[in-house]
Amino acid sequence: MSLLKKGSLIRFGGYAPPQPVYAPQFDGLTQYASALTPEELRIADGDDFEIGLTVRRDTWNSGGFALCSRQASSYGVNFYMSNNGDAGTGSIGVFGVSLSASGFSSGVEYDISLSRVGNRWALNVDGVEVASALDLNISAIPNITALSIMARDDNSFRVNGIARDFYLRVNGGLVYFNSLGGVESAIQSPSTGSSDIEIINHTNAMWVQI
Amino acid sequence: MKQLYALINEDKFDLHQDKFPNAVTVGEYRLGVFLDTERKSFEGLDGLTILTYEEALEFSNSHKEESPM
Repeated sequence: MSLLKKGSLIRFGGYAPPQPVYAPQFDGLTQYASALTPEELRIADGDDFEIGLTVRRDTWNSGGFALCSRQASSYGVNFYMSNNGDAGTGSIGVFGVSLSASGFSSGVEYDISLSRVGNRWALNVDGVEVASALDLNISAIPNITALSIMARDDNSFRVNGIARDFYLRVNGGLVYFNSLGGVESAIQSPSTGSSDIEIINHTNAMWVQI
Repeated sequence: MKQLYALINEDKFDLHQDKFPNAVTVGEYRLGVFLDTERKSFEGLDGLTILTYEEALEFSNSHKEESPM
């Protein structure tokens, strides 16, 4: 007979079962998320940074925005997920500049980020640089006054699917991380940084285990 | 537990704004979301039609904003 019966590892203190991970599944119709104090995510002019999130778009049938920031009337970072005209496939890019790549699919999670090191900008998907450019002028980045996830920052062009693990690194250091994993709560607090994110039109039915 | 949708005539939105303060604009309508466990409290209300997700999606697609991309 085995000495290690079911559960015995727990009693010896060497094993803890993995905790289930949950994420909000946005409906693409009414639901999106918004930073409550977005000015805390400002990036000082000239600082190197990387801003990104993990997103899964469930149907890729039109244009939509995964993450948007704004300074007053000017757009800042705008991650778009636009269809290519083919069923279930699309492009990921940064609206208003020439950073984009195609060949992405519905129902697949992607880690999307925009980084700037010196004057070099890059769009990264799953840790791989898919597009880059020098000296882009995305003037709104230093003074973020609005930030939305799974919608444009005027709450239009909503995306259906999962969003999680939103982060900002500045000069190589993590200054903000919000897993969006606080199950059944409209208010999502970060583990690094201070700006809460509110899920607008939240319901308890939108949570899925991933 | 599922989500249902409240399609509200814009000219009746004042009647339901307290229940759906963040209802989004879709054409001449507002669209809110609620749980199916709350359905009875929204049945028969003036200017409010209950839709399933599929119905709400079809309605939203027929009033789609022009893509900026």
